[in-house]
Formats: sequence, structure tokens, C-alpha cells
Amino acid sequence: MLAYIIGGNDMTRTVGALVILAIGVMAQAASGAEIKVYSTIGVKSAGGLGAEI
Amino acid sequence: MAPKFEKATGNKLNITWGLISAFTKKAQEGDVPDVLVVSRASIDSLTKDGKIAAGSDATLAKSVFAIAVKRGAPKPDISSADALKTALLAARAVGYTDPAAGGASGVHFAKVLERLGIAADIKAKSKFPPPAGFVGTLLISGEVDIAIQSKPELASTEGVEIVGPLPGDLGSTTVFAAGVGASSPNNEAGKALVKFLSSPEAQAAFTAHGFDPP
Repeated sequence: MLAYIIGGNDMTRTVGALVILAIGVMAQAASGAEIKVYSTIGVKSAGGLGAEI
Repeated sequence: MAPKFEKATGNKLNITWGLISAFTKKAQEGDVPDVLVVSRASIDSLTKDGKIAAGSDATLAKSVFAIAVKRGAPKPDISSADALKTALLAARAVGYTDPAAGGASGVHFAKVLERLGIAADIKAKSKFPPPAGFVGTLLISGEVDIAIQSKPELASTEGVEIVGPLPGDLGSTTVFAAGVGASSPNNEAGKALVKFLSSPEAQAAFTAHGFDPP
């Protein structure tokens, strides 16, 4: 793909760049990111869900 | 709810639980997570300070400080300040969170005892759970016969029966909110989590565990 873009004309370069951009955005959206959460509510033990305030 | 969110989005949640006061202090000092779930007041304050992204927040639920007994035990009259005072003085032992540990329910209840003029009487027969522990466990073990904590926390212990909220202006309501860290590298994923926590499905789970709708 990269070689195709480098070697192509303006149109193919633009389309190729957009395709790569779209793939990048999709990958980021379903990135499997680890979200760090600090919460005062939620499951704190096997026994329950509470609000430690 | 966490596994549902993780399955639906492919993102993993790394959750730490703790006190509002502790998380607010951490955030003020620069330790801001991707998503912070604390009180509405803290979220607003941290947004003003630029720690939480403006417009990323949502109100999730609210809760009151309540009084509980062990299921099957006689329910004391707590319908007025005087009735509550009588009930507390008559109790063999009273359980609440240690005010010195910073938990909001313990701090508030200590002020209630001062207002009722019985702080010294109750202090002599007070029992505290371990930090971040549930006061309801003290009811079940028989160490106390009346307990005060937020309603969801009391409701989380099997065998505990909620009598009702602290009466009149002795009561206190905490509103919970979530927001995304202003510098979070997982901004979109964080927003998705806040949206999920605001969904009808999440709201139903909150209500089922003793929270009140926002």
C-alpha cells in the first residue's frame, strides 16, 4: 500500500492516504485500550456493590 | 457492568476503588485517571481546575446516609431528630465509619452527633469497620445494633435492613458523577465508558444496589 501511494499519482496517493487514515482510526476505536479508572462506587468485593464515600 | 463494557468495546478496565476525598486530592496533585467517578462537587471543582475535560462529565446517581439494623431486629423510631437521639442513646453499640479516616458518612455523622448533643455518649460505644469496609458487617457480627453509612453500602451486606435516611435536615445526599481526564490518552474510550455508565442499563444496576436516580 505504501509503495502504491508513493508510486502513484495525486489521486491514488490521496485515496491511499485516506484508506490508511481510516484503518488507523478504526484500530484506535477498537484499540483494546486499558482505561484507568478511579471510582468511589462499584464492585469492591465478591460480596457487593457499594459506595465508599 | 465492567465485563459488559469490556466485551462490547474491546477495552480493558483497570479500576481502583477508594474515597472521594483521596481521589480528589490525587487528581489535584496531578494523578488524574482516564475516568474519575467521584462526587458531582469534586468533578465540577476538578473541571474548573483543568484536570477533568470540560463537557466530558455525566451525573450517574445519588445516595443518602441511612440507618440500618440487622434483619429481624426491632426498627427504631428515627422519624425526627429527637427520636433518633433516643434511639442512639438506647443502642448497645453504634457502628459508622471512622471520621478520622475521611469517609464522608463518618464525617457527617460525627457532626450529627455534635448537633444532637450526644457526641461523647455515642463515642463511648462506637465501633468502626476497617477502612473502606462496610458497617453492615458489624450488624451481622452482633458488634453493634444500629449502623449508619450510605444506603448503597448498607444494602450491600446480606442480612441488613435499611430503616430509613437520617431525618430532616440531619440528612445528606451525595450526587455521584464521572468525567474524563483532561490529558487522558484514552479520551474516546473514556467518553464511551462515561456514556455507558449513564445508560439505562447501568442506571438500573445502580438502583438495584441502593442508589437513587440522579
